[in-house]
Amino acid sequence: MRQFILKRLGQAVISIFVLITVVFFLVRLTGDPVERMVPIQVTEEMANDLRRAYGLDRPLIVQYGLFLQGLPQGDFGQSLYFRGRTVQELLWLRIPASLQLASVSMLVALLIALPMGVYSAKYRGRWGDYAGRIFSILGGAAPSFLVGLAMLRLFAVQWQIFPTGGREEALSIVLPTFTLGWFVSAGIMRLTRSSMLEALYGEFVKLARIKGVRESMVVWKHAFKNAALPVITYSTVIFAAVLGGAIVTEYVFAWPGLGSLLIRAVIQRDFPVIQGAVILIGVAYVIANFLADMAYAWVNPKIRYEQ
Amino acid sequence: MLLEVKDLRVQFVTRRGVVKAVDGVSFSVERGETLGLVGESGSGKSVSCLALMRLVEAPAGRIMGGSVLLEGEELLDYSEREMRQVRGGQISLILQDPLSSLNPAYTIGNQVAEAIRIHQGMRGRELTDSVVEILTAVGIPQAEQRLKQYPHQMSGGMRQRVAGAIALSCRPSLLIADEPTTSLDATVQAQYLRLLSELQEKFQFGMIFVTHDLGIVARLCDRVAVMYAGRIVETGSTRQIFNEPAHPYAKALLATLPSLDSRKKRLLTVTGQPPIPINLPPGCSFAPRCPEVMDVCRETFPSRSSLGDQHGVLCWLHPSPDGAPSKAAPQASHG
Repeated sequence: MRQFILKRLGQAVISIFVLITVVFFLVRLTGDPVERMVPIQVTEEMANDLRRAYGLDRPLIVQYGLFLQGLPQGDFGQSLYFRGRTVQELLWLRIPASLQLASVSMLVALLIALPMGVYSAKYRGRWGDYAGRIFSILGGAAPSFLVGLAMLRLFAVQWQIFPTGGREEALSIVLPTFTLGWFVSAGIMRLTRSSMLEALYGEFVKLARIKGVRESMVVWKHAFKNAALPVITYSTVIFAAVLGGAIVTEYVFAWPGLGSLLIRAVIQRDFPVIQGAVILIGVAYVIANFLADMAYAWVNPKIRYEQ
Repeated sequence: MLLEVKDLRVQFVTRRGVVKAVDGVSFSVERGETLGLVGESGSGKSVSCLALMRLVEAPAGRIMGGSVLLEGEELLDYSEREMRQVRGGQISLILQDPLSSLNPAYTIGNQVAEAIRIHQGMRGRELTDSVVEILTAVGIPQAEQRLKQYPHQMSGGMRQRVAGAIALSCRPSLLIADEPTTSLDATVQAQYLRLLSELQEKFQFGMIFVTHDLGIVARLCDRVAVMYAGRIVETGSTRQIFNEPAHPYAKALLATLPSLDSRKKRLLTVTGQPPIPINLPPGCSFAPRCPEVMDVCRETFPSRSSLGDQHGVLCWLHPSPDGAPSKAAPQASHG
């Protein structure tokens, strides 16, 4: 088990390093950030001053070295757009909102998708199965901006039940949660269904019935624990994706999370913020994957003992 | 009589039509006795066994009629709740493949204990003790240390012993073994069969042994029922079936047994494929493959005729004394 953890940690460090490098060089292909920082009328000389001030005039490799140097202290540099603020500061400001939205929508998605997936598999071909699958196809296929806007129009504008956006009121989270949760639950539901179908036709399920086990226990104890493996992996990774990648939903509902910070940084060519946000999301991904592996090993005893 | 099955019928509704997987099967088993259920894949052996426990998968599969009497009680009239008490309690079943029939996510101890807990309500130390006891009884060494092991940590033979332990943990009166040795290699297979005989001697359960291996039947079974396309076409004592098989299908099966006789150069096979029992023609279902086929075979289904004590057959070569052709189910019970 210890060896297993060490191996996964090693892989995680390498993945993050590759990510950091790729992001650093890729953002610099998008163009010159100084163009976005100053009005067009500004002289070339003034622009050069700015470049010098932010170290953008130095050779790329030196910039990369300095960037790497700052990382161990969590120093991602200064924002080019929000003058005078460090990237770290900006990220810390946004993390709680993203974490809250991701956790709540994930929870809602799981609460909907797991029972629905299990039900659909158990009662395949019945009315409820078709309803569940339609729900899931719609959730997966309808773009978030469309769902989000429709919800806004109905629940916030027409009936005025929920606020239109922001994060100031307690009820603000409801609409973004359902927009995001529906999308997330679609995948989880389909995966749970297919994985449960496979488990329910397994010989060990037959044996459980032969032993005289109650049908509810056959489904939840015997089939579900085996079917849960891919669902756990998928859910953990999708959680990380939602954490930093709920860009559209955050944008539609003006939710002050990492996604909306990242989209603004990209538009403004705010390199340090892009780098910081992407690294943060990447680390969240890696941690999520690591946790998924751990959970996997816990559920599936076979993995625990393999070297 | 421990078990008496009469005119059991099981159907599956498929896209291609209604499959009469079990079409009027009758047999009986006494305590301490072993009945061999023999036939090719798809002849309805496994489905018959599952139907005894009322575990035919709904909604596609359905028991259409007949009677299953266990110690005089009609199982087909039982509620689902009563049936759960029978399953694993009075009737147990060992499945074919030990690799996939144990749950990979739970320990051996947990899986054996589950049946005992359900049927005998044991808990704690008492439960652990009886798990260890039954594991030892099926020949698992150091059973106590193995309780915490998972199926994948054991060999195929050991796993099949665990499956045996699960089946016997509540001292059932009837044990169904559905080709339990097919996936084991030959030496392990022999050990396992010996174990089953010993356990039967000890616990005096009736056994239905499903197989297509006539060698095993000769060694293990008291009586044999030969199944073809959902029907029992011949039944009798093992000696009767082996020495004087009456049905051409039984004869063909016996001819496939490899022998040490050097004059036979090739292994014989039964030619052709068994039919899928959808919309079968009115005559005998073996007629298309039968070397001794007659005109009547293709038109009318033969009725059962008795060839002496316990020995019955469904074939026009042995017309029943009253001569009346019958579409009714064969009565292959000896009772």
